[in-house]
Amino acid sequence: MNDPKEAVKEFKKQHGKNVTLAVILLAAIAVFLIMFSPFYILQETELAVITQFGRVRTSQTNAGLHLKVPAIDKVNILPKKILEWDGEVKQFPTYDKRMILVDAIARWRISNPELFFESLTNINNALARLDDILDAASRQVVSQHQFESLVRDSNRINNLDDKTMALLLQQGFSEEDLTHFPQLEVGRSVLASEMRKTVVADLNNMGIEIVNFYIKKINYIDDNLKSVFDSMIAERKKIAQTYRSEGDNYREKKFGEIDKRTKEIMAEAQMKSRLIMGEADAKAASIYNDAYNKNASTRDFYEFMKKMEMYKKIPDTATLVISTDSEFFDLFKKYK
Amino acid sequence: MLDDNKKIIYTMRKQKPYYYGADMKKISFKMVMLIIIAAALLALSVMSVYIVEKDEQAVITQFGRYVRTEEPGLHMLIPYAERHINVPVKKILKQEFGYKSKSDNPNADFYRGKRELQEARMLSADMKIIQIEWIVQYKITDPKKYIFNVNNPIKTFRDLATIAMSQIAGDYLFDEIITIAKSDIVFKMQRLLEAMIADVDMGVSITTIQLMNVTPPQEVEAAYNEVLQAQQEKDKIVNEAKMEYNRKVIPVEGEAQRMIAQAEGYEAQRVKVAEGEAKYFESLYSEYIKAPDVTKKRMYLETISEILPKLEDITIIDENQKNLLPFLPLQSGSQTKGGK
Repeated sequence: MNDPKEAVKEFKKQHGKNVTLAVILLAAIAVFLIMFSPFYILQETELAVITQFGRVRTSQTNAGLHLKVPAIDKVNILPKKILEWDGEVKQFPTYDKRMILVDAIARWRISNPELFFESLTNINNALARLDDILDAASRQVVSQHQFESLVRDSNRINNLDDKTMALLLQQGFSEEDLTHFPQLEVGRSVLASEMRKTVVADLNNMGIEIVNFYIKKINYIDDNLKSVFDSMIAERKKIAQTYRSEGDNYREKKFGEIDKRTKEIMAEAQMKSRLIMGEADAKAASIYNDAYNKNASTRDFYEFMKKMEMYKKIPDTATLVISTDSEFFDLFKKYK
Repeated sequence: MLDDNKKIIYTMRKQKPYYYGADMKKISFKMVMLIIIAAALLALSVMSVYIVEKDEQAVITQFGRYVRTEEPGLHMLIPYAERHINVPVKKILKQEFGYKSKSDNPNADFYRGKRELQEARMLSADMKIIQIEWIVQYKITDPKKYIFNVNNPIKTFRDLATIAMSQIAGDYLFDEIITIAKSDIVFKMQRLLEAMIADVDMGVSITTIQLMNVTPPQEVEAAYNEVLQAQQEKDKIVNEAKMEYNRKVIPVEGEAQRMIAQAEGYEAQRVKVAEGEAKYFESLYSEYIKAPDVTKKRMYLETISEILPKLEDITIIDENQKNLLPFLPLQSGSQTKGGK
């Protein structure tokens, strides 16, 4: 009798029936309340479709405490929020027969709960249908347009401003590189709205509103990546080569300029010095003329003087043959 | 110890079973009721009070329906019927694209896994692949819209930001994105993303968009570095050529100036010499003119007498002698010299 377990057993023997009864009673009340409650609660993020034996009776989109017919009405809760559809990345061919990876994405909501419930019943069904419909729409639109239209959104690069042009030319691009971009008729956001347009009616019939439908990303398929990288590398190599050639070109031009400039400078200097010297000689000549060319007498004297000077310059080694009729030696022959 | 205590209690019960049990019953009924009521009241009051932190707002729903938004402070609600959801409205929230910072420290290392690299990968308008990493900072401006309108608002926000970036990058050339177009892109991105957010009405507003890192893909990085290297090589060559120009041309300019200066020197000298000679001639002439014949003769004779003694070979011939040849072999001096 000292054992506490024994004491518990004792207690249960005396009150056991009552406790079991109370528990059963409480459970019954709970079940009754749940099954036959005339109330249900709807959150702000939810909406409800009320069905009676599977048939849609009505719907409720306002949050709060609402009444229902106990036991008969079944409340089917569905989300009221904008929901996401994130499609798998799919490989589609474009109009110009290029395989690309398209990552499309959409946001949708239940716009007509009754219609939605009747046609799709729950979110999983809806997502499965969306997969089919949206994938088909993006495949169709992608196949009708060229690759550029899916990547670019406008013809911005066909009308680059001068500043950008100048920079790109300076970066090693040629004028030709920058003007060959194809002109687009439609761009990416137009395609997205085209995609949206093709599904709006279908989805509307299922009580779904498509809030937006975007091309999230376009990518090359793995098989093509290498060739894209290769062409990017080739382009950079070309640009690098352009820089190197420009360097060589500059050097050659500069060296040519050096040659030309030095010759120019020297020629000009020679010309100037010649001019100066010529002028100097002219001045000297005029000075001499002024002195020597005054009249016949000065001319005669000048000539005489110069002759005398020249005689003095006869080298010592010269052999002089003098005739005896010269003025100096005339007396050798005979004395006059 | 505990077992000992229990033993004591059971011993007491055993000894005085009636007394003990009756006592307990009397006390427990009133006490338990009181305690239960007090506890229930306490629980209710605790449940009806909640706190909104200073950077938050609380959205209150009543049976699921939105009733009010509360500002920071201590607030009351009706337990069970009302619920509060606290939303950080004043905090600037940040989403990173293309990388993950390992902590809040802005200088910490970045993590770029396969997912991040894929997220950053964009196509440019010239169909090249570019890696763009960016952040968007935003604030929740309408907590009610933020929690009620969109399922998974963070994912929605990230998706929209990625769509906007990929669309705008698709309109710029690779080289623009990497160099001058960054601020343009941020500006356009902000406008586009704002419009997209308005479409889904998710109650957030953008504070800042920033391009963090724009790079070519790893696979082509080497080629890009080669361009930089080539650019530096070009600069080097250009500088060397300019240096060479200065090294060659500037000395030549000096040489040219020297030539001119020499010519000028020549001019000065030539003129002075001419003037000197003219003066000399004039003074000589002024003497000569007084007695021309005498002076001439004197000068002639002086000259001859100066020359003759220096000359080694002098041959004097008779004017009547027609043939010079017979005399020549006698000139041994000049022949010996000529033979050498």
